[in-house]
Amino acid sequence: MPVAATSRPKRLEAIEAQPLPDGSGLLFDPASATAYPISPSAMRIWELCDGEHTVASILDDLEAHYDVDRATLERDCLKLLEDLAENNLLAGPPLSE
Amino acid sequence: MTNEHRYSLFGYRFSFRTNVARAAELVAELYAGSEDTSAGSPENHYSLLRQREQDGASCWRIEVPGTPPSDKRSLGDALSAVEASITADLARHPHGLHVVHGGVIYGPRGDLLLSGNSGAGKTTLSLALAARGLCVGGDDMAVLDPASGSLRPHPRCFHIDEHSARLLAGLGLRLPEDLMDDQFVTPRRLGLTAPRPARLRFVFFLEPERLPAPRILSQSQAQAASQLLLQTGRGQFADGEGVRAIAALTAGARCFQLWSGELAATADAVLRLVEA
Repeated sequence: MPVAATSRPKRLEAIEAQPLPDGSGLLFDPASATAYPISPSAMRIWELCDGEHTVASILDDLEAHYDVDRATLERDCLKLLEDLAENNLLAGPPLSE
Repeated sequence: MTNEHRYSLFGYRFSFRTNVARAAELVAELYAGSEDTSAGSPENHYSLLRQREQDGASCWRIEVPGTPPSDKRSLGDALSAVEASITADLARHPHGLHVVHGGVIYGPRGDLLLSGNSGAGKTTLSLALAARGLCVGGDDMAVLDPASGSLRPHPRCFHIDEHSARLLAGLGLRLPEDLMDDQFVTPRRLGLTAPRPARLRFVFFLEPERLPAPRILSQSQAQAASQLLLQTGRGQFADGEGVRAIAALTAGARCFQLWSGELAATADAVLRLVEA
């Protein structure tokens, strides 16, 4: 299901995020006792999943932060959000809304 | 004459009973510094007894917790089975510690953890690094205290087959002459130091696939932590404590994936990184 640019992804409160000095991070889901490693840019996206930022504004932040074209950022960001949703790490309504 | 010796490893207290002087000597060597002098009873008992069969040949009967007694055809087999049982029971012991599947090597600019699945080559690479002058605390297992972050190698006997022995001798590692007799090689028999807590600066995750030449790729601390969690023997981490402890372990380290090539070239490639 496509992610809407106006959706406001929100991380699940129960998920414990472990930021690491190299910028990467671990997301631990106590419900499934599973840890997910994520890259520095994914960690930045995770931190912006506060229920306030829209997908479009997350992309604006990434574009300002990384020297990467918007189309690539959008593809990677949407893929990450879909993965987070698929693994039940996000709260709230579906990202397509 | 049967003797009993008591040990306490990371709080796991057990006794070892044997009528074979060589077995008592090797186990004492393996667990030197972990003798249990407290008054309480051990939690478990292990025994290795030499017995004469009707045809006059010897067999070695072992008794370990949870399994019926069994007979082994060589002292090395019997010792290895007892040692493996002690290690497995230690890993299951509810001591509040995390057991990490990996070897600890003491390096000149910080210590190394070599992790990876069984058969990935941790032992051979550890000993190749020993031949290059590093000290091996253990080649297979380390114990992490989540409260203090201290990582200590758990001493195990090295399993060295004839092929590896030839390769390591070629690198200059001095192996005991009777290596192939009882096949129970303690770190001390190789002149390696007594374990101390590691100051971890490098984590290598050994991939099982062998390449013509060694290949080493950087990986993120999160990826390394995730792989170490899969190698950490306390099962599920419902409270996240294990995740935090392992993340803290990799937080101070440079982390790599390693595909081994020819042994000497692999050891040299690792050395270049850890000595840079």
